[in-house]
Amino acid sequence: MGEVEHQAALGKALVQGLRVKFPDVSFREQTMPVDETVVIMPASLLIPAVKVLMDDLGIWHLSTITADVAVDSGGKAETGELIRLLYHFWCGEGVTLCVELPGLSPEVTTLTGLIPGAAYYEREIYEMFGVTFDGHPDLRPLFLPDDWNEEPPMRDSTAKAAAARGDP
Amino acid sequence: MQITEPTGVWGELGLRCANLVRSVVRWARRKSLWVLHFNSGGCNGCDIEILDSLTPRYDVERLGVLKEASPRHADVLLVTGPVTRQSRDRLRRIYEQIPEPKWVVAVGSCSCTGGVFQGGHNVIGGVDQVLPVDVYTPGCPCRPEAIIDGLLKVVGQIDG
Amino acid sequence: MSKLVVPIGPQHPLLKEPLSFRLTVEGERVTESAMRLGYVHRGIERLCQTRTYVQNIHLLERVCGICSHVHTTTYCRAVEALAGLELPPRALHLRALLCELERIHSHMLWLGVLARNVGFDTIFMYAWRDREIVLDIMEDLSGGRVSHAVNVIGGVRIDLDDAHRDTILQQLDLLEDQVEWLLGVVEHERTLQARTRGIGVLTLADVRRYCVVGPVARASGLDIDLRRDDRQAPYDQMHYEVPVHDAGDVWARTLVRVKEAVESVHLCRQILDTLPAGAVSVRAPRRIPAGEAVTRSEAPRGEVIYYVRSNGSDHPARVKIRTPTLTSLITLPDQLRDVAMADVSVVLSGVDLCIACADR
Repeated sequence: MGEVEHQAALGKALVQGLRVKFPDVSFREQTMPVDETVVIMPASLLIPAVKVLMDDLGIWHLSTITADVAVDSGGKAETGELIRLLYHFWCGEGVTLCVELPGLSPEVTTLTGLIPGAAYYEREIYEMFGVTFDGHPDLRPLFLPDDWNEEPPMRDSTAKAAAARGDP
Repeated sequence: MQITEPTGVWGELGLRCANLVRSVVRWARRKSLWVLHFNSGGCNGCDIEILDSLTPRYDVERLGVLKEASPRHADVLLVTGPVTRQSRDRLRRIYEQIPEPKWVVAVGSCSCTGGVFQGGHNVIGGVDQVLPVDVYTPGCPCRPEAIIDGLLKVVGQIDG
Repeated sequence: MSKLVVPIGPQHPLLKEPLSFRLTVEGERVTESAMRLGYVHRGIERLCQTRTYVQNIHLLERVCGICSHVHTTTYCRAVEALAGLELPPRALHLRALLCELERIHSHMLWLGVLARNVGFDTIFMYAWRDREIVLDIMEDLSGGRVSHAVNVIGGVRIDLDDAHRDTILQQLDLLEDQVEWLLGVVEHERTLQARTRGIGVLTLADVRRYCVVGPVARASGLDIDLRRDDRQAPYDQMHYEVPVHDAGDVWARTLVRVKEAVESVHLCRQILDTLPAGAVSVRAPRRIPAGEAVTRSEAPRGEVIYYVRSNGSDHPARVKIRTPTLTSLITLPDQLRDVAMADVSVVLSGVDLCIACADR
């Protein structure tokens, strides 16, 4: 039970730290199974928030970055689409920082300056979702073939998935 | 290639020698199949089973099968996995580098048909979309016994 | 001295998977290296969105043929968390049993590959011969040597009776002797040490900067193991050690992995001894309630993380997989710098690359 309280404490500490440092910004806080605190924040605050995580709370392990098309638009992928980036950190418990980017020309500051290990995750999101990472030292496709001339394959996921499924 | 029109005694002798050499080569090829392994997009499952068939329990070396590192030394190309868009040209090039006569064995369900990865944005399909395949060995992953069986089917295809 | 670019791969005898390197060498020393991934990229994350939750188990088992079970375990845990399912303890134990068997199989496979790349073929043959014991156990349990198809959403589909358990315990005794013998070889064999010591060094600072996980991180002195740190059932009831070494070279990784294999044999025995009675699965709904979940597991190569988002239908809206090899790949340019050309194969096999995992 003590462990569980400790976990909640770490997530709370992050939110507390952020609220103290940036009093006029609103953070949304959620929980995800299993034991994961999610803090949703504006994209401009990502780097300062990661600094708080690393310097004040001693969390330095970035598990991965997940990109996701936020609005399940049911086939109408071009309207109101958002790209969510989830930065999964881990230190005995999971803490996820979430930023939401506009679907058209999404752009965010790179994390590689603070965490060089983020380089491949960002390259993958760049090619799969078309998100540009400002200041990334080597923003090239990672997995797709050199002659790939189609759109990023994960972007129109909902529409294509529905078509590919073809279920009655 | 058949040597034709022997002339005289020397020609007769030459023809017999050539036929003898040919049957020795055929015998040698049947007794020492050198294979090259290429993963064109597979999940590792069949690849470890191919390596496994070289190790003590299955030991294909007792049948004269040797895993080779260079296409130029190989008789048989073992391909695992579906062909991805990026590995397609490489697969073709490796096939072209293997000297004639050559055989292609598609190891595992993915390399036979594309298997579970059909429809992937980077997947072309089975190996037969790119190369002529001589032997299909299905299984996901293919067991070492099936791989050995596939190789023996190749031996059966060596003429004579 | 003039520079020369040496291309390696994608078809090459070092690794059984395609990965392409361009090494710039000056004399015998590598000065620069560039890597090309993607030969095995099948777009699995994308395919997941087109299939149902149950079909995805079959697909995700084929992310990687070596650590197939841990992928489905992590995925099923995420889906079960979304559906709010509570698993019977027997199912958790059986899952963990397969995970540990898979760890032994993976580490012995890797030891064989390393031994072959340093020219020690005897150990390659011995390690792979003894690995067959693990494969036999797994085949008896599940019907498959490499892919097991053991997990279902809500539990496992296999069960074992007491007679079967005793058979496995006997096989484990034999396995333990063999793995400990291999550990003795790794610890004392001077030729192996001569090829692997001081090669491919990663410092603790490097490991932290690049967020490296698993045995590579533990061989550099970072004590991280999700089985213990994430307090996962049933590992929280087990007693085992997490081997850590601080040299950070290929030899340290060898030691860490083989010691881990020994610990995994002990873990298997504990799991079998404490196997609770009861059901092995609970009924799972076809449609999974909307939500998102993150799960992590300790695969043989380190932390594997799954993110699953559901939109309430029977198809997941997003499945994200991060495999441990991706974290090690990023350190390769550092490890290859200033390494003799003959040691490149040792460095590459030392990190235990699984390109199928990395490319997905």
